Amino acid sequence: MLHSKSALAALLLGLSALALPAQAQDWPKRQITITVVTAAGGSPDTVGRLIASKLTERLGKPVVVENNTAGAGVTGTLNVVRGPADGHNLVVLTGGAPSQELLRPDQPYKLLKDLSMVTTLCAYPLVVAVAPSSPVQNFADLLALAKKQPGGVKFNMNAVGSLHHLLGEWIGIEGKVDVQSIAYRGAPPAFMDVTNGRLDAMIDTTTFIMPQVEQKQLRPLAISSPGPYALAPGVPTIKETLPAIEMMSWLGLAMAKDTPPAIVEKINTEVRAILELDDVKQKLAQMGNLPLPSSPQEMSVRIERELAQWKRVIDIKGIKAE
Amino acid sequence: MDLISNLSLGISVAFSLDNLLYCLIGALLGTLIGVLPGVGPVATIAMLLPITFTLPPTGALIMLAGIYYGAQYGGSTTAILVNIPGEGSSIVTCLDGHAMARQGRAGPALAIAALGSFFAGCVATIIVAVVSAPLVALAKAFGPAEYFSLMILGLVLTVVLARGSPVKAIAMILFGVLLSLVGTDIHTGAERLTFGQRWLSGGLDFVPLAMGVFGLAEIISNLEKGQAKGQERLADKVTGLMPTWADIKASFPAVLRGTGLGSVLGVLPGASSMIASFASYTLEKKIAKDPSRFGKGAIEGVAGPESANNAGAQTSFIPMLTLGIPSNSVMALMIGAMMVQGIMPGPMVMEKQPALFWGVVVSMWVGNAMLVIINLPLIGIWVRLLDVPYRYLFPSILLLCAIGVYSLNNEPTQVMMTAGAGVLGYLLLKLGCEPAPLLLGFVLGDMMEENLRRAMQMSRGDPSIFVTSPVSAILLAAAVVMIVVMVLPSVMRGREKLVED
Repeated sequence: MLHSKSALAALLLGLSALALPAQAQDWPKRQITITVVTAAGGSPDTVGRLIASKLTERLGKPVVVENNTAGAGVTGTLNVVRGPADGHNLVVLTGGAPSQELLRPDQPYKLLKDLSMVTTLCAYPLVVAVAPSSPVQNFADLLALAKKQPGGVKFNMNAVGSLHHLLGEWIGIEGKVDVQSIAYRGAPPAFMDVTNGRLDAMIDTTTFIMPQVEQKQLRPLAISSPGPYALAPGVPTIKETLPAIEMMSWLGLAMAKDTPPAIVEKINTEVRAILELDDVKQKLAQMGNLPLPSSPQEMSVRIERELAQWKRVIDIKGIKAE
Repeated sequence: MDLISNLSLGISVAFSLDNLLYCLIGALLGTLIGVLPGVGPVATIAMLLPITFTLPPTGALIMLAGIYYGAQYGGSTTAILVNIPGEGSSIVTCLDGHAMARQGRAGPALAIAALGSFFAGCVATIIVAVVSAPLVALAKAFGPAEYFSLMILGLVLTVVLARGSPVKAIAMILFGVLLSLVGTDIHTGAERLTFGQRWLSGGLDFVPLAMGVFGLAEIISNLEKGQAKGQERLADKVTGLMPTWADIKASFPAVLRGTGLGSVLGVLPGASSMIASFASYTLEKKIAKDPSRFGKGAIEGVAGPESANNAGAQTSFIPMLTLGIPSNSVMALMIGAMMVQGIMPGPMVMEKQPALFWGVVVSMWVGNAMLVIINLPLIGIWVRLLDVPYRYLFPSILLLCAIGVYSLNNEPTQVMMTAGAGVLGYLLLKLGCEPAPLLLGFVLGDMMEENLRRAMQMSRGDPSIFVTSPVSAILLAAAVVMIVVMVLPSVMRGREKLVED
């Protein structure tokens, strides 16, 4: 019995091995569109265009980026969710996608249920930094200040539920201190308020923080990556002080749920090869990113883990988009 | 020393081949639309916004700036020769400029207008370069409370200096502020004024609104007016361009006064270059020994206003470049252009993008020099442009607008929004409401709200933060003074006179 079962399995495997290339063979039939749901010029857009240009060379069909910021990104993602699952429409997901899903119960799709993940592309940590004149010398000092100062420490955040916001609140939870997240549209105005002392510390990407550090206009305290980060040498991790905290923001590609797995595999292979290219690595590094190739499965697992991690922060802090 | 190194950086940027080309395109386009009545710089820049997206940021801003001050030159050409003000700011130039042309002195009028503008442009460019650095230093000390008060002052000044009824101007500002609040609130994540429509949750976009309210509305109202016919053409009568020594002697003090007045008024929020030219004309008439000459070909009446409007056009870049706060609708569009390019306008621009900042400043001087060359020898060609029938012009403009808006985001709803904004703009025109305060309200509205709430968050809900900060208190006091001054009857009359003169 055992024998015939494995024979059957082998037969099935063999069949599917034959079938796989057949499905993927006539792909791509036409132009492939990568939807980016943030404004052109931002890092998802730049990375999306970088990958698109390399894919165009490798697949022999044009791969183009389309920006669709309508509905705070929901519209563009929804177009991919509902579009034909024939492997010609991709969307760039960001590390903000899981928390947005938690805060928006009316979002008309669920990441893990309605999309099939292709691969993560790259990842970057957030850095906590202070003004050079600040009395705070290290991350532990900042927590001490938060304990002492009425109302805790003031951080910047981008918007409710943004990764800046959630990281700040998470630090509050794990450090058992009060934090106050103040909303800024982008890093420059927040930077001004941290340099003139209106904010105690600022949270932002290495791309923004590290050039300021070089010009001695900010002093980094800690970084959110799980270990030392190549693009922010010498900056200690938050984890060293608060072991529970590690986070990386990321970018990844996803497609409609019913896309044939063979096509998902094919793109995954191509994109992983692209992420190995030296010029790609170099361009990503310029944006503070390190490549993060993954299997579709690994990307799903990452999203699942982050959904749980952010749900905890959101629940404890009672964060909601009212 | 810093200034010199900054300016030399600017020179190296502005004199690169690409940027010289963008500057030339801007100056040419500006002259073109300045000459054509009914197509203004605001409409043009609004319509070109999506295209600038494909250009490098510095080139884009240089080109847009060229359109703005180029229009100030072009507008005077048609005002003098054909008695059609190509631009609002050249309305007063018609009075004496055209009178001069009728006396066969079109050449000197054109020359003085161009040279006066050039002089004003050079001086104002230097002012921009000198004043910007200290202003940026000041702005860095600004926190949310100070910003909020500054914007309040800006909006109050907009009302004071707006054309027509102040009540309508206030209504337009508030309407603009209201429109700016549509979408997801960054402080709470709540969706406001979206009526459950997903396409509204990202907020209203600046480009469709500006393009509709200014561009489309202008096209609609031009179609309604029909083509002006039977205009007297004096282009063929332009003989000698050179002004006489007496002309120069009479003009020079007027140019100086116009430059000074224009430079100051340009910085003030809400004061368009049109206000600057009106104010200068009034001033010249007032201090002239024989005011009755005005309207009959007084060269000071051309020299003063033309210098003033160009100076104002340049200095209006100061608050935009240093504080990220627009002083008029063109500057609001410039801010839109910077945001489309991913540049956050504000005091950081000078530090983070010195090449852009100083390149744009120096390009203004380059552009002004180009404009003198473009305008004087080529006057005949520009005037012939008036023969192109509008019915051929507007369909192509409309089509380009639609493509431009669509390409911005690949969203058909944006094109619909533009159309809607066009209808709205036309209605506003019919109701005698200026669209400029609407746009300023729109740009400043959410910035104001953000800063207000940020200030309140930092003070833990204590509103006294707005008066305990000295800078904020002074700004708010200035706003109150402006309101009081505005409602004083004598000032009201003076303002009406200034605006309607």
